[in-house]
Amino acid sequence: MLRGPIWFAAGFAVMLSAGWLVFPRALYQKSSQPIQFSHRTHAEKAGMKCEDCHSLRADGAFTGIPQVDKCAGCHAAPVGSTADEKLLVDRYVTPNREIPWKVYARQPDNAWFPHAYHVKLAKLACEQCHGGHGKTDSLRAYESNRVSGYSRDFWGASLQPATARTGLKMSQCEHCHDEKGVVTGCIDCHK
Amino acid sequence: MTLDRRDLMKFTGGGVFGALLTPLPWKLLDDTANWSQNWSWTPKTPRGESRVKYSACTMCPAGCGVKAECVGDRAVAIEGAAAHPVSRGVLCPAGLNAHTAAWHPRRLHNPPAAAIADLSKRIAGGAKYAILDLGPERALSALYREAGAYLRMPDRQEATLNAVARLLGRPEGSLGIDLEHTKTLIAFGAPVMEGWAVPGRVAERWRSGELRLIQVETRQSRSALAAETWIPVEPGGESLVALRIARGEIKVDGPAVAIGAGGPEEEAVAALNLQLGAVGRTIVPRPAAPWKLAEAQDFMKTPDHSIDVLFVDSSRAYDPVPWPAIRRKLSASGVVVALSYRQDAITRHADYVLPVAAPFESLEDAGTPPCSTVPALAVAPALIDSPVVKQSGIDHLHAILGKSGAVADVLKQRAAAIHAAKKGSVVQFADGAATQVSEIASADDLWKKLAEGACWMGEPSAEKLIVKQAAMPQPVIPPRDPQRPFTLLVHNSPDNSLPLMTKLYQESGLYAPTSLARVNPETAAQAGLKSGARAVIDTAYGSAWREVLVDPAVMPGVVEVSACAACSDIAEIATDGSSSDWRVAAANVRRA
Repeated sequence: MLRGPIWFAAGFAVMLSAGWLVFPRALYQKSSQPIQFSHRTHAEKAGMKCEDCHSLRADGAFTGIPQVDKCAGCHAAPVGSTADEKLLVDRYVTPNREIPWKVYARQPDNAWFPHAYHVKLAKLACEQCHGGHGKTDSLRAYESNRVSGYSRDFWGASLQPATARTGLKMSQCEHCHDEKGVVTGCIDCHK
Repeated sequence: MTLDRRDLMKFTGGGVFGALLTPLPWKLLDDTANWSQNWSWTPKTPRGESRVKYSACTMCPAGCGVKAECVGDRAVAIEGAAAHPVSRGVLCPAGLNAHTAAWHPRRLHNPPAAAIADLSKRIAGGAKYAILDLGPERALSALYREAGAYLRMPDRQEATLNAVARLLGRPEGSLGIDLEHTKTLIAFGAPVMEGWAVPGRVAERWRSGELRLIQVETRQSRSALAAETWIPVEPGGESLVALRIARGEIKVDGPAVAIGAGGPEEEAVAALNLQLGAVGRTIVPRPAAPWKLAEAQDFMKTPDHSIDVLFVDSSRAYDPVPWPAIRRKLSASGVVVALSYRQDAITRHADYVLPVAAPFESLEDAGTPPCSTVPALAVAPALIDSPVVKQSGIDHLHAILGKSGAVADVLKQRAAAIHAAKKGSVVQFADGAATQVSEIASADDLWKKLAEGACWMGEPSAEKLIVKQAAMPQPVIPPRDPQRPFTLLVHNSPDNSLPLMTKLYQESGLYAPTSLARVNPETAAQAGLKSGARAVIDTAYGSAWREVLVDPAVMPGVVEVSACAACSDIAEIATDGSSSDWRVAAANVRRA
């Protein structure tokens, strides 16, 4: 008599587990960054600030991740003896080749995020969106969505509530804009 | 325990139910939508370091200042340049989409190779040719003027000012509206809040509450909704309201100015301005720009059947142009050559289509904005590094006529003329810094400033207008046609088919789709129509079909349809071509 409910419950349990435990892991492909980088070392030992590398120009444009010539300012020759330091100098700085960083916070092509408005006008701290990234000792694996190709930080952070990773979806943009009384239309962000 | 078919069904059912309580189906749906953003044929914005550049929007004559975020040399996002002294950081939805025009879904690419040779042969054989410029007052227009008989359509935005100028015996284009000192703007159908004159100029005054708007209009437009007072009128009844205002039956706080929408009401609106004391107060003289132009002719006054080859530059057309008006000017063997960057109302009928550069694909300029009190010039440098089409209309025309000339040279000559006149100032969009022309060392320096993103604003006129009086014309209500008991009301809408606009207007109701005919429930019942039905609209000049939307906001007896420069088949059945006005026509509506 219980045979029917048992099979139903079995199917229910299998898919519930698969949906919550297997699928979120299987959906993302992990890959490592081309070289390791310590924000902490640069901040604490070299005394650098976020804006020394990630700055806003006078015209309001955001410089993003610095290009290799910025690294070359200090790393023309290896500073230290780690394998990553040697890799940085040999593979990128000396031949003046850009480092193909995988950007955790890369926006989808159809969205336009002006750092100038958020940093200068709204006076948001970097940590508010990027969490403790600026204090990390190493770069975590980059996870890209196997279906959409987007970074997990944009579209998948809330998939596993257990993880402390920060992330951003449009609903979060809207929520923050609502809280701060910023009135925006579609074409303010979608260009 | 063996697994039978019934168990499998229950297992599957439980699985489906369980899956619905996980992120699996919902996340996959979300990701599939995101995946569709990255199909190989979807235009992609380049990646890399971004820089800000300044330009001017050339989608319409307003020439609003543009701040563009560029990756490499390509604009990936644009917004209004806040330091522009007239547009003040405001861009209309069409302007905000201007950088996507190069990827228009109906973009024209390669000209047929035979077209240039064929047209050269016709003209060499003595064919009478003329150029109809639907985006006049550009440097390109100056080259058109030199290339042959230069024609332009009546200016709808300055129609009232030109009607006032005629009453005063002044040349057309010699008046402007001092909006900054106007307290009440009475608009007779003019789309004041939907792209009239310079949107930022109007928006700032309206937003601050310093400008009171009275909208006299048949339909509940966005301008009517934004107005302090909306006076609904039956189609053709605008002149009656003008008469009531002139008689003091409707109170108006001065200083006021009345503007029309380029229709038959203009005579009454011009006379109303004289009655309101607007002339000399809010309607003021506008000095001419310090460069000379060849004579332009009114296209509508060109003799019928007199043109063998008509070149029509519709690439920056903002208003629909009814084909019947063009057709009647052609000789028996006459041909039309469309110069456009996308398929539009002219290319649909043209014998030859020559693709031209889209906005921001080539160096352009914006001249004096409509209704401005001072002459102006803004240079619009290209913001797209790899244009699909590099040629402008004049390049094709020069190839056909064997002539030469470049837009950059005309603009440099204009910069030299401004520098020689030593009047006005140059305002840089980057920081809003204004420099008097008299303080700029050379014409080259002035050109460099303009090319980096700046506009020149001339000085206002010190001339006092000699005010004449004109009696208010008696309103004429057009008689009803028993065969066509309804009124077709066509209104202008920006081109909704720009890539980003296509999505936005459908999701936001920003602009009425040109595929819809909106009717009142009463009208729908009378004509046997319901929402979603296909209706045929018949006028004395033709038929067109539209999908019906029953909307109580529409006046009974009226069929409201929007048209744009790219889609104006409805405007074509609203006139026989003897008039450039396509807004109102007697019509019958029936179920298809």
